[in-house]
Amino acid sequence: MSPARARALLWLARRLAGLGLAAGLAVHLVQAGGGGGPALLARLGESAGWQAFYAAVVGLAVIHGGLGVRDIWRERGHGLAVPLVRRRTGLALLALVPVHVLAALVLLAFPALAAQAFTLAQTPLHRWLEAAAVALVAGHAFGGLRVLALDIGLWSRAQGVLGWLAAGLTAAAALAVLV
Amino acid sequence: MIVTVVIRRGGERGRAERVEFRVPVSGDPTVLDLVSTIQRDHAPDLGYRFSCRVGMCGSCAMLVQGRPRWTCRTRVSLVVRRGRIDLAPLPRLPVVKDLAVDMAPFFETWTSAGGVFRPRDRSAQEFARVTPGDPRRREADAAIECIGCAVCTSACAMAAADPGYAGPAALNRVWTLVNDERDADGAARLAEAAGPGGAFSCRSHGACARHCPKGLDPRRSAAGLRRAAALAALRGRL
Repeated sequence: MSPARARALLWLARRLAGLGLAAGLAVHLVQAGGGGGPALLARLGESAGWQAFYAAVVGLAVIHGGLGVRDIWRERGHGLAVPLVRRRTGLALLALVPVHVLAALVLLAFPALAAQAFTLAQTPLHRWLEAAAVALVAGHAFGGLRVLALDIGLWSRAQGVLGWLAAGLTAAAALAVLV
Repeated sequence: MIVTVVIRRGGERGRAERVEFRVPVSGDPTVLDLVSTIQRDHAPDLGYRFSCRVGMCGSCAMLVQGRPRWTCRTRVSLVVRRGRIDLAPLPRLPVVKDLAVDMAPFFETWTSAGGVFRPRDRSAQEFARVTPGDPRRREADAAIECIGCAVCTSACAMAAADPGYAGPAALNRVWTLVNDERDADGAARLAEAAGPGGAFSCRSHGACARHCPKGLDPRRSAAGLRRAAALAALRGRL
């Protein structure tokens, strides 16, 4: 395979995985917001469908994050010197998402621990941390969708407006956690 | 009104210095008028470049108050701050003298990115018929008015960060050729545009679109190239 073809296909894979993740994230946030963590874990423990859904989301995250890190690594020295919200939030998510997934797996395996953990996690500080995490992932997702629109040939001239829209939607998502 | 014009003077190898000129201004001249006045009345050896004076040739671009602009169409009143204007040559290009830069490296990026026309039929006697509504023609039309002034590439953060990046002007040119009915080898051109430092190095900041004096959107052209390259790759034509 020619390097140009590989570059184009990997770019496409990263974009498509990102699109899939955006859809998956929307479902996940609605799920988590609806009944909270305990209900979500309960459904996940019982339903093979939800397990398959989350396995697919994790798979897409591995593809999307892996290819993103690959790009950042190849452009080290100059790529990150350019202020890019998507890259900075993406790197932060690289730390956050594995911890989030691991914690969910542990809580799934030990339901007694889950009950304790969710009781302990009712503090205002936890709520703020949760809002910050939602802001991080929503900011990355909305920023990514904005670029995706450009890449499919839509609203190039409106990228500035879309940027503000992405920032507004991110703030709204974080606020929804707080109120 | 007296305008203080501070010009970065010197050649590439010589030591550059900032020289201040106090220039009487009447009416609302362009920055290029101001530079011409300085050369005529204050510094006959001042080096700068211009040709058409009407925004067609793309040769008079320089940094005005730190921002790349075409000077023949930039009014002094638009850019003057507290009676002062700072002028410098375009960045990242070899300085020939004072405000004039060597544009050769800029146009070399056009070649390396695949921005050179290669006709399908070298002996064609008839005009190629391309209808105005043809989608490819409309794509080319949207990007074709580039005057090669290097303002977009000078404004591009990626071009500043990555010396190997072809830059928005080159990619914009390639996009017009990819959509050119008469072009010989679109696949090879896409392969060049998808090469190192090509369309996949664009990070969609959009500084090119914000700075382009002709109102073009090279960011959109780069996105078009990525899209076309990805489709070609899926079809096994890249």
